[in-house]
Amino acid sequence: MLVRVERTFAGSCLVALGVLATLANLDRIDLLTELRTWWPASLVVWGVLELYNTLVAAPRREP
Amino acid sequence: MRARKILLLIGILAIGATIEATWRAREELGFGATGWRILSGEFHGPSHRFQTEEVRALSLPGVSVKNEFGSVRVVSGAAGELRVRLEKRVYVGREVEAEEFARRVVLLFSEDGESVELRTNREELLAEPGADVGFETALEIAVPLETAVRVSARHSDVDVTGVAALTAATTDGRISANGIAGPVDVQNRDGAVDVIGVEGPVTVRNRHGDVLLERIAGSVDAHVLHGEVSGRELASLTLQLRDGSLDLESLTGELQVRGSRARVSIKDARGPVDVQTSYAPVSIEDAGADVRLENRHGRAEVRRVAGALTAKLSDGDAEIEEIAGRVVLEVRDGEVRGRQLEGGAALEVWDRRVELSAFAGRVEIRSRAAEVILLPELPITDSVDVTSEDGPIRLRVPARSRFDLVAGSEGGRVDVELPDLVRGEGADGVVEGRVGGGGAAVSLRSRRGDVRVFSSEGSSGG
Repeated sequence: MLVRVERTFAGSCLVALGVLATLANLDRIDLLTELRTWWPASLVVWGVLELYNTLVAAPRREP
Repeated sequence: MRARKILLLIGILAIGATIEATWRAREELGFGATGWRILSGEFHGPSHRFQTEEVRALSLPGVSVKNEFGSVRVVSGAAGELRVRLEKRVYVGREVEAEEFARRVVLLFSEDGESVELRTNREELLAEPGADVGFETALEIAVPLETAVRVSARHSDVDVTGVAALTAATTDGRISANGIAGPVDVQNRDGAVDVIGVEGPVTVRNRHGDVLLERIAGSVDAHVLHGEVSGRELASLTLQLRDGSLDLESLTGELQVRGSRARVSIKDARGPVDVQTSYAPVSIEDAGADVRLENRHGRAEVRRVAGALTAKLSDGDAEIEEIAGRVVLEVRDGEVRGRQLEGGAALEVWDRRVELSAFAGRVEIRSRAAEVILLPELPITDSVDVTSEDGPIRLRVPARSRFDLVAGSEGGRVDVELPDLVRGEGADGVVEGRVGGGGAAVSLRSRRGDVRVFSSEGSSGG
């Protein structure tokens, strides 16, 4: 099944951002420090979704 | 890639850049309504200084100091006494207001059974609502000679002299440790580290900054990311250095250097030397034991080694002189010049040129296309074995040499100009014979290069 990359990616980012902001409001983390650490992971997530579509989902759809 | 994806990528990178810039600004910059500001970890603006001093009895073996924004200086003082002088620098324009605030900056002491912990009430003051005063706290502390000192600081210079042991960490400042009787462990982020006159082992971790190590009786373990490291009169050193240089003089024990893009210069190392680096030259002089060297994309000069030399260079020239032990050398793309190799040599060279002069002992050379020139000064009595694919080979034969010669080339010329050569039967392109009645095997073989053997007497060697 093909994944809608942009939508899945945007949804994942929103969830991650919301979790981080909530933890920051609860004084459990420093938001800026965590954002600085983890923002490159968004590129990894996006890349994994694209690879999944290219290598796994797309070949299965071919007749 | 569709335009939407490109826009999304640009958006992510822009958000990332914004986060990075904001984080850096928060770390490095700060502005207060009373006129103070922080730039690169230092306060700026109009300020006033005030001093207080406290003296306490000290019965515990350790003192732990915490401080931010302000130097920490620890010296040895009277027995059984902890003396602390606190200089408060308050960044407020009006002196009255500065003095009023300075009165609220105090020293806090606590004990944990092993040590006395000493800090200022900075955290408490900054946690107060509306706190907007920039201030520095410089501590000058005197402790008994036998005290183990621990300093944890930020944006501070740390200077410790004449104590039993030291553990120190800071950022954006210099750490100086002088005359320490026991172990020293220092960590710095952006600043220099000086460790001088230490009886125990030393550990140094530094990210950006120069490191000076002098007169250290214990072993030294140093990790430096970017900086110039210099050492004198050390027992042993293990160094990891990402970018920078090492200048080392007078070492009695082992030396191990793991560098990348690090220039290395070593003089007078009595113990075994093991150096790995890249993209920078290496120079080793007066080594008292074996030397092992690996350099990628950099040249090497090694002189006066009492033990063996094992070296591997990818592309860079090698100059080696006065090596008492055997030389094992591999050079892919570089020129090799060797002189006074007393224990013989085994060389593997790809291109360019090899010239060995005044050597003794067994010599083996494997060459791809390098020109090989052998100019011994003493009579040849040990075996010489040179094989080459495309490179020419030249051997100058000193008087009174005794050996069995095989000189051959499939595609090049073979010239043997030795007056006392007794020729044997050789195949096409091969000259065989005995010199001085025969002795060690001398084999010079090139597939496509010329081979020339000539006497040192009455020949220019050209």
